Amino acid sequence: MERKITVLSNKEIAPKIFKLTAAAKIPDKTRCGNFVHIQLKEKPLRRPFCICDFSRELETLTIVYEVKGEGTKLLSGYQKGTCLDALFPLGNGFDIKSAKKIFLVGGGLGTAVLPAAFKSYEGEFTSFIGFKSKENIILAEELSLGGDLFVSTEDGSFGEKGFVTDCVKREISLRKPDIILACGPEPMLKSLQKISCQFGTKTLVSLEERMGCGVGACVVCAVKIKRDGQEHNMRVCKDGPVFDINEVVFN
Amino acid sequence: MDKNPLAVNIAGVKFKNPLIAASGTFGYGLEYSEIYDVSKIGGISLKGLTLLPKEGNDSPRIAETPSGILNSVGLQNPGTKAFVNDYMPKIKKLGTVLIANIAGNTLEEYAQTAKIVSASGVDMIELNISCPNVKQGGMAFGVEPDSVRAVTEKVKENSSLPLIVKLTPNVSDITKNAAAAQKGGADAISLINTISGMAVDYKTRRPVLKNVTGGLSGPAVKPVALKMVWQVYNTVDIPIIGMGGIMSYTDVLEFIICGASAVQIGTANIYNPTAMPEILADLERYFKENNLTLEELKGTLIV
Repeated sequence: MERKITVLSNKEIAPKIFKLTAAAKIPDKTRCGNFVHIQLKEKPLRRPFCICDFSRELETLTIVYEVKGEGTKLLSGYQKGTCLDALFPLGNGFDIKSAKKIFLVGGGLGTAVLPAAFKSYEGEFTSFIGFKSKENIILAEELSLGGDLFVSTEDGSFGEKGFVTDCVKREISLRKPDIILACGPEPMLKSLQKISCQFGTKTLVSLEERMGCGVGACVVCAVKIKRDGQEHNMRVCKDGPVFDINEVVFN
Repeated sequence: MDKNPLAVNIAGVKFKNPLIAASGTFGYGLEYSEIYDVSKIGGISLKGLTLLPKEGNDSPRIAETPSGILNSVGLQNPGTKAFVNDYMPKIKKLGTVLIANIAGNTLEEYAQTAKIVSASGVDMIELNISCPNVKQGGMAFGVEPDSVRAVTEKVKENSSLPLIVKLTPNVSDITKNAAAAQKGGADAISLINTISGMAVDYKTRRPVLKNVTGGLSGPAVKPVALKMVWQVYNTVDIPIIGMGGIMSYTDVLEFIICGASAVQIGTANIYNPTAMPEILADLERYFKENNLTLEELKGTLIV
């Protein structure tokens, strides 16, 4: 497991959304859906962030985060050259098996999980991302490099007006993907769960929860997962963060 | 003579050093064994076990506080059957002292759980009568000295393994509970469990933890823990395992000076997965440089 990263750049790419790229050795097993558990200089409890993108050649790791609380506010202030204790890669990541036609679906900040897919899998990608409004759009350029891209905004200020899942529902019968990889807010995931059921398309989703150790020992980051007809509390950090959407029990 | 200055014997169980992973922060040791060789550490107090599987509380289960964390996991565990069949075969290979931490709702449940884990291959039992996060997680047994004694006696009747009784700090006089545990037949005492507390989000006006309240751990509790270890050291004759906010080797030394024979490390593991081997390396260096043994330092507080 790698432990050290050094900030190369850290800038605001949309209101309150930052993109941090750091120098980091990328272990071979790193893949889309893994996360990095970062210790801030001022706060010992680590913060988990999905690995947005990585480059083995350039030895860089990218995360995209929203400034929401004290921790992310501190993080947004770290300048080039700041060394951080960061554990990665953690979590299971997306296991796409032999799937070739891949839909990537992101809602809001959930989009941050997707770009690493191009470094992790070979296949034919179609990306769908949705935001509240034009000013909130992130990572569209990065995702357009990997295949077709559909952008939706709730207010119609850019791309298609409506929810990202409207777009997914329309394209799914045309493009017939083998698998959908997704991350986003709960209403989007609930809607995606219905679509997945209706079309019988395997859908994997990356979840989040308040986390402790990040390695599976403290059992703090529990999410409800239905298996064998029973609901179980499973660990986002070790059993996840990626789960089959049909197993996820939403509130 | 090249005697290991950090070796410690508690109730006949030999520990290669006094650093024991605290229950609930180290799982069943398997996750950390992927990160480092856990046979280096003195022992592991395994994740709290109940007779039947327990799903625990809803999330969020953790909140960050000044110099500490609040948790409210609610004793999520696979139950004794899965522990014995699925976990123990792997845990046995870790090469360190294994302590089963057991909790229950009734005396009978404690008795049955103790009986099952005693035959599982663990070296000791730690009696959890102090979990603040479940309504009947044993806390009911941990508050009144009479019930501390009763549950200790019950477990002793059902197990021949050395027994550690883990005390809660959420009581009026911890020395009474320590004395009651000793009278009940405890072979050692561990303290402190977490201090009951809560965190509130002023913006949403909601508690941060789904369970509303939780247990506080980390550096914030260390002064309370040191005081209680010292008080209990002056009350009982059995060995004490001290814990509460240990983050460094100097913290370990402070607990030993206050009378602890060994210590447990909890929150530090959550902050840093290699906290225990790092603290151990510092501790080894300190004892070597000062030509001291653990036994010589124990209980040397000058007041």
